[in-house]
Amino acid sequence: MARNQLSFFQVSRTLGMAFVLGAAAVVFTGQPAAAKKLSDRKLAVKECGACHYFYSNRFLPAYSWKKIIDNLDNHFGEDASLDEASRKRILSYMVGNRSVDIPIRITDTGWWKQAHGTRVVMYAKKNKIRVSECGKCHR
Amino acid sequence: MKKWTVLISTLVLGGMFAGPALANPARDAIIKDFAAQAKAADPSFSGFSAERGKKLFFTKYGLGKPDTPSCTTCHSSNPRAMGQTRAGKAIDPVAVSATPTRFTEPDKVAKWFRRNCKSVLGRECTPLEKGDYITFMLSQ
Repeated sequence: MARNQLSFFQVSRTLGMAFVLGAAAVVFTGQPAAAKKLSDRKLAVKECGACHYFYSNRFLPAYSWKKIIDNLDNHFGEDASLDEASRKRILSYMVGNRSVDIPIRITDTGWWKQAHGTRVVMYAKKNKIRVSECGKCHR
Repeated sequence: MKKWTVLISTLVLGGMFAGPALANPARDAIIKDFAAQAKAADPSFSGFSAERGKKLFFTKYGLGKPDTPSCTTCHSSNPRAMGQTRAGKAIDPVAVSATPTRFTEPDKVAKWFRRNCKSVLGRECTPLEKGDYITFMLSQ
């Protein structure tokens, strides 16, 4: 259900950016001085690791990280919003140069592998059936 | 001789007035700034209240995110005790006596008030609320 609220939080974040905040009169979009000294990776470790185990960027495909980091205002039921400069740097680190890891081959997807398993693949190979020929088995 | 007397008495008196964990110029500046903002918002502002801060800390608002109805959800109901994020990571106590570095970094203070007030209250906290909260944590 939280997914349905994403657009609402995106709107509220956009509005939030307009406000000047707090004691140091830090603009929400301004990057804190402490963050500037860190590499992108160290910044990601610091910010993500403030609340939970730092999950390696390899644990999820790049597009998943993008979806997560574009919606930090509602991060698994928590407001984990960041200043825009830090957010962009963390996104760039977590996505890295892996923006191409979106599957385009159906048999590369998790659901396909899960549904068929190695036994089916071996069976197809043994009988010289190409896995692209769904109709050979599915009628 | 006279110089030494002045120096020693300054140190002794200074030590008496400034509590062990309470004296911190960075934190004082943060509080002063919230006070100025509170005064600007309401000219009748006459100082922060630990009592109001206590109420803010313990009240179960349930106005923000469903999983975080109050500050105590993550910080526990004892400000001097360790807290825990919903993902399981330990949070240092919020009470200044237990964690002397609390409320000494303006960016950090701004970031966590913004996030946590939205999570608990569904809105940003007012400068009065922020000052009251810190004042309560200083008294703990």
